[in-house]
Amino acid sequence: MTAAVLALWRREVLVFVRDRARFVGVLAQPVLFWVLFGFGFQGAVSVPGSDASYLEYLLPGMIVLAVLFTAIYSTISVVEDRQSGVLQAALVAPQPRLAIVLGVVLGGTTLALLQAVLIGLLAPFVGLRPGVGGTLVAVGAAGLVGATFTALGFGMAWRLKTTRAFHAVMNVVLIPIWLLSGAFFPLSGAPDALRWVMLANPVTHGVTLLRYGLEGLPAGVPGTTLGLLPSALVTVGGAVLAVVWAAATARRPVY
Amino acid sequence: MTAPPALSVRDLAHAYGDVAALRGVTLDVAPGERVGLLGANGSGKTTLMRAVSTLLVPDAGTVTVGGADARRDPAAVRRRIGVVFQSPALDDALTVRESLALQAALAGLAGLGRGEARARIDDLLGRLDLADRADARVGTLSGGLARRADLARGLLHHPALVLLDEPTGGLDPLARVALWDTLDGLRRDHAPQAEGSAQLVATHLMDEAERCDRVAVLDAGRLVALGTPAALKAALGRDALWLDTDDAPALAARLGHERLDARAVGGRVLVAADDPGALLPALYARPDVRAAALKEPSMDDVFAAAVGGAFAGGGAGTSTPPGMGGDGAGGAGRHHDEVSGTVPPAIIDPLPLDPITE
Repeated sequence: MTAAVLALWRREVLVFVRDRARFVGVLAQPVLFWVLFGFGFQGAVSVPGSDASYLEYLLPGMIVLAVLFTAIYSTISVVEDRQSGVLQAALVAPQPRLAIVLGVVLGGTTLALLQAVLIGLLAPFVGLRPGVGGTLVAVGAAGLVGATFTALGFGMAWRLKTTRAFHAVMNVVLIPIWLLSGAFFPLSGAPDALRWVMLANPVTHGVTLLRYGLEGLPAGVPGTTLGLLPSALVTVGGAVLAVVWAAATARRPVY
Repeated sequence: MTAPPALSVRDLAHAYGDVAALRGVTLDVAPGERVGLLGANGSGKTTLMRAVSTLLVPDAGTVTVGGADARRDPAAVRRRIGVVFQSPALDDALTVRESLALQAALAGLAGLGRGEARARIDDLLGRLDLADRADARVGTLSGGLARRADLARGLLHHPALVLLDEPTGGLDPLARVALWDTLDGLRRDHAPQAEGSAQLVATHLMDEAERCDRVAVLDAGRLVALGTPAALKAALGRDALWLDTDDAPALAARLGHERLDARAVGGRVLVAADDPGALLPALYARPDVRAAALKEPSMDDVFAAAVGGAFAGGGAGTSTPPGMGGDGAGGAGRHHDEVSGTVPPAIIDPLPLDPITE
């Protein structure tokens, strides 16, 4: 099964990278958002409880945006594979369906990490200079969020028959999740009700870890007394649950 | 030596909601045998293929491949089958070689070692005349080449049973002939088992059915005819009498009133009789008949007669060619409305399909 997982992983990455329009589009969107929002809000807003510029505050948020979109959109390959028959060909091979789940999740996570690292290279330009340890924390957080959302995308793609349905669900679900994760504005300035929603959003905790890795501080969810441990548990647990859900979904028949 | 059949299907039944797709199909395929699966759209061909390829768990009945039961041990069945779908199941962005390497990993050939897997890929690419396109992206291949690359995918792990679902759909006539020559060649040369790979081929095309050892005709989820092409044609009688006319259904109805077994098929009228030659002069003299001809039964006639119920008595569930018997022609006649009403004209066109000019 290992060979099959590795082969499927390699294929996910190859297909995505060869589709240059998709690759550039997914990368360009966060960078463009970063430049427009960052400079646009630069003079208008200050980040509560921090002297960071908005451009600096937004960079980790843009890394998360790229991770979310790359992870989810990589699983559109499952919908396409079902339409082309590639998925059926994999299903009639003597491999457990878990091999397909793991291959796709590893592939999507790799692509999400690749995008995260490319955007992360901009960090020194806004004064973020994480050390080796900080970088590892940030990469770990991005990888776990990437795995979570690739697995969620896989489970969704398994049930959806067209890529149109996929795009629709994505825009309704993914943008709010991102907006309410502390990537775009911090919890500390949000009204109470909104803050609870943001706390319940698992991505908030991934963002917290990522910020800690890149910025060094704060060592917890801003605006709360929570330390890093709950965030780490939520982020790891979320990835595990999502993969388990994807594996369970893959037991459903494909038509 | 008593090898188990390559494929054994017993009393297979399946419904999608209220719609029955298969209503009890029993069929064996011997090791090395090629069986053609004929049927109109919706006859159950694809459902049968899906059940045999383990993509669908049927409501009732069993599928056994080389002794392995599809319900209890689908992984064992998957090791024994190669599946070629209606359209190539290859990723356009990968090269032919990359696609086959992926298939090698999925088929569990990694245990053979990288060198052996690579040798198999090279060997198959050579056999299928794909060696010079091995590093081309699948998306850049012509339809015929993509089909052959997909065939390589289905054959790479040397399956004992190859399932081909309309393998020439969408191909031009020359590419179709080339693909069938390839399939014939593989049966001769590519023989991992002493008997070679068995093939189950779903098709709409009668000239393709002629290339099978045996033909199974499905109609509305039932097996209505099973036998060698020659035996099925022989069962229809020596010759069929075809009449050209301006209004085939009207002529068929008039002849029916005259106690003849006549039905409209594809704009002409087919008259079944024990001695059609004796009827020819009288029919040719009629003012409403422009031309009359005797023709040996073709696979088209077999198909038209089978879905019309002509073989119903002895067809389903037996592996011997069913005979029509004395009143067999009457059996076809009883259902002549169904024949002309439900079967697409292309399938029952009485002219034999020429693979080059069709």
